[in-house]
Amino acid sequence: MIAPLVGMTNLVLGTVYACYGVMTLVEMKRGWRTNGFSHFGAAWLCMAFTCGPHHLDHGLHVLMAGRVGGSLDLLTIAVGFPVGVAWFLLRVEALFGGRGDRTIAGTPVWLEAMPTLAASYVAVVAASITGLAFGVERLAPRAWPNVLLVLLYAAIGVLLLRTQLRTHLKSGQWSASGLSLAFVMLTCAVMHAVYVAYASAGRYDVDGHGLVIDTVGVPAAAYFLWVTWALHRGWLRDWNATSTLDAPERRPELIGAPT
Amino acid sequence: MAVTPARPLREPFTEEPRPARPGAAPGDPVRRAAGPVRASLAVLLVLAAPLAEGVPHDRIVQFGVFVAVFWIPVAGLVAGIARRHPGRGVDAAAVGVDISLLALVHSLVSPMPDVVLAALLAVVAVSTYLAGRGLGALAGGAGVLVLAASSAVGGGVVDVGSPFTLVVYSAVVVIVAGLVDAVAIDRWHASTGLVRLHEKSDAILTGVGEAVVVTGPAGGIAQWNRAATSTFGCADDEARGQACADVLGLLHEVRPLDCSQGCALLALAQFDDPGAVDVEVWRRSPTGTRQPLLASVSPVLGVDGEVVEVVHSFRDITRLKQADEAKTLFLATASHELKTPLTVIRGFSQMLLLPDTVLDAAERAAALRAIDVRAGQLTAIVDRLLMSSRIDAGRIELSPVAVDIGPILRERADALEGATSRPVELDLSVDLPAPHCDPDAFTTVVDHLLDNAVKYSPNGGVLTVTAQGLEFGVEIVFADEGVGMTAEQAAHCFERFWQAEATDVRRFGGTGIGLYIVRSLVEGMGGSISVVSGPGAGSSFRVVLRRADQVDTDDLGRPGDDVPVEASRGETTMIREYMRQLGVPLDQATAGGAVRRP
Repeated sequence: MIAPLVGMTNLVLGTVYACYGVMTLVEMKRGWRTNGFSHFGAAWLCMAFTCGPHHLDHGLHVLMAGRVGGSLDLLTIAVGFPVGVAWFLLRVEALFGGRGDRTIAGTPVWLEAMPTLAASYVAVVAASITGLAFGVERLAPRAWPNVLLVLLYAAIGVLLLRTQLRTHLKSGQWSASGLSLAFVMLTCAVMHAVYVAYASAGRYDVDGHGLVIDTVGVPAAAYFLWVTWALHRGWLRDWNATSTLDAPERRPELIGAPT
Repeated sequence: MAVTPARPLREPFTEEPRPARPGAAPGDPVRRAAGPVRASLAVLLVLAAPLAEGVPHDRIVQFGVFVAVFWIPVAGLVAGIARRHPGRGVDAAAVGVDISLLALVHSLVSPMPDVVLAALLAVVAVSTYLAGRGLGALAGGAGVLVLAASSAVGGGVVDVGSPFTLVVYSAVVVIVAGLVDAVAIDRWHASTGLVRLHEKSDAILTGVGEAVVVTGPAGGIAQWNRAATSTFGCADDEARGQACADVLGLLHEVRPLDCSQGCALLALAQFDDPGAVDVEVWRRSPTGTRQPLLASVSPVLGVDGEVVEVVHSFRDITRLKQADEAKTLFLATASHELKTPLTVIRGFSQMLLLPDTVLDAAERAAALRAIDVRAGQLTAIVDRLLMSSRIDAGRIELSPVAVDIGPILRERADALEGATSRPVELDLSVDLPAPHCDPDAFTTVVDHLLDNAVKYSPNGGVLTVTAQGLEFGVEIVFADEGVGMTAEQAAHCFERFWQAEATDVRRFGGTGIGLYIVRSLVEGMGGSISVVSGPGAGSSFRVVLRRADQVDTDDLGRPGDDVPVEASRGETTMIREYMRQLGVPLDQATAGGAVRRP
């Protein structure tokens, strides 16, 4: 019962990520002529086209290659799934010209409870992972990309949460889209931690495709972290800056030398 | 002037209460969240217990039944009560439910690994910490450490094998937590309230568009916001502590403000101009130009009524003044431009009306032609004025389509040659792609630029029009060998009412709105325009329009959509919008008019 659920949800998540990658590609192509290259869009592409294949690969291995999907795996997927779907639907809405966001006024009770729930969830998963890891003498080399992904996704999640908190302190409101992405990142970090535990404990077989995908995913996540960080610090000017948006190509200097 | 004093110092600032949500209980958010938090926590605990490896299937089923028939109703009841009747009694009841849950979980999962027990206690510790109970969290953390140590040495330190022991552990956590509850929550509220208040006031001061300068009683600068930095060209750390008069260098009319006897601006506002809200002052900018400022001033009074601080705010009105002067100049030039053809029309019409005037057919025809030509000029001027006002109002209609611009350029160049005898060299590339533009608007642009080229090259010279395809657009360049412009003139030539010669001695006519119309139309069609010029070296206007074969249908929008004139800059895209949602600061697009798609 658990394995089909894990497999199916991973396939859905993988498809969602791949779709979002295509949507970003369309958006980048649409705006390239007028706005030029977007690091932010490119970073999203890299993320979508590494996270998506990771989930697709995992789902296919569980469904078709006999990989034993554990209950922890199901739990992490189940927690991240609704947030991910909400986030994806908002992106679809934005692609078709909608707002792509919902404003949450104030801090409702469910949001106030979120830190405690999240901490409880992480504590439970961490304890279970520890239990799984008791018999493991050393970490499998193929798990290292996932360890790095845990750290990178957690860093991205924390960065996004901090920015959401800063925005909330200024405006008194929350962005549903921004919050959902922060939660997606954090749940992804937990998900990969479980993956590491299962792989190290021998429950997940050796997977060459997954190893390649996750290895590529590390620089992709690092790129996204760098882009987000640089945009917040003002080191990078992207489509957020109008000066790069002159159409159709960068104008010559308005005041030139005598011709 | 009546100066409204700010509130006295030492009066405690109060944060505005947040509006209550419908159905929400009054009181602090932590208490309101306590019930739902515990209910959710309980469900998580029960769900987490079967995750311990080796738990048989029937145990998982037991947990499912337990959660469904017992825990969810109880937790929901507690959550509801806590939401409507927040208080320590309800909190205690909820904690009791937590303990009973722990005991039940423990009894159902037997034997339970130490690591799971440690996790359960860690959950309690984290939740108590997040609820503001610091010592409770410490106690919980200590329990986790003890269990970890116990596990590490083989279970010989502490025996946690019985439900009773677990209950004792949890009870200790809750009792200690209860002792520090009030202090912790009060401290949390006080600290977060203060932080929010400071951040809010800082954000207001930073975000406000006016330059705000707060000085002490001796005139030293105590506070200086971001707008002040841009207005006065002096950084915050450089300005703070300096004498206000030295940094600002303000003058009223022709006299510098003397702040040796206290804030001169305050005195000026109170005594010099009673009834006025703002005072107009000025200063010399670092570049030596006059910088007019609209200042308002407000004293901050202490409890004894003495002035302890003075809050100044300044608005740079340079652009307003320039706009005002430009409009005045425009009225003068437009009147002059209208007057000239009207004089001719009136003169010829009066001549024709005189009863004793004897004119042959040729003379009569010449007079009527002169009237017709001048009426045409008048119509052209009025048309420009009307188009300018429509652009300014933000509504002109454009129908961009794929246009073969070669015939248009040839036809307009021939027309110009016929009217002025000035040759126009056309250099159109053979495979010139069709741009995405409105044919009428494009013709207007061509006419204005050719007219401009003729007007500003009175000594002749070659007029050249070249057009070629670019990778992402179509480029049309209008070059002349006329008087050209200085760098400053070139920088302002697309502004409304701006003219290169704003003096009484104007060699060239015009109302100063032609290039403004050109820029608005070009940008309304999604293109761009720029100029390269030098004094005596002629001017070269470069128009770049989008290629029709590269314009997505999605970009075209629907009929009736408003399209900002500045659409090419800062347009909302999914990526840009998502950046905003993630808190990335966005540059705002320049406010401008809009064109409406038919």
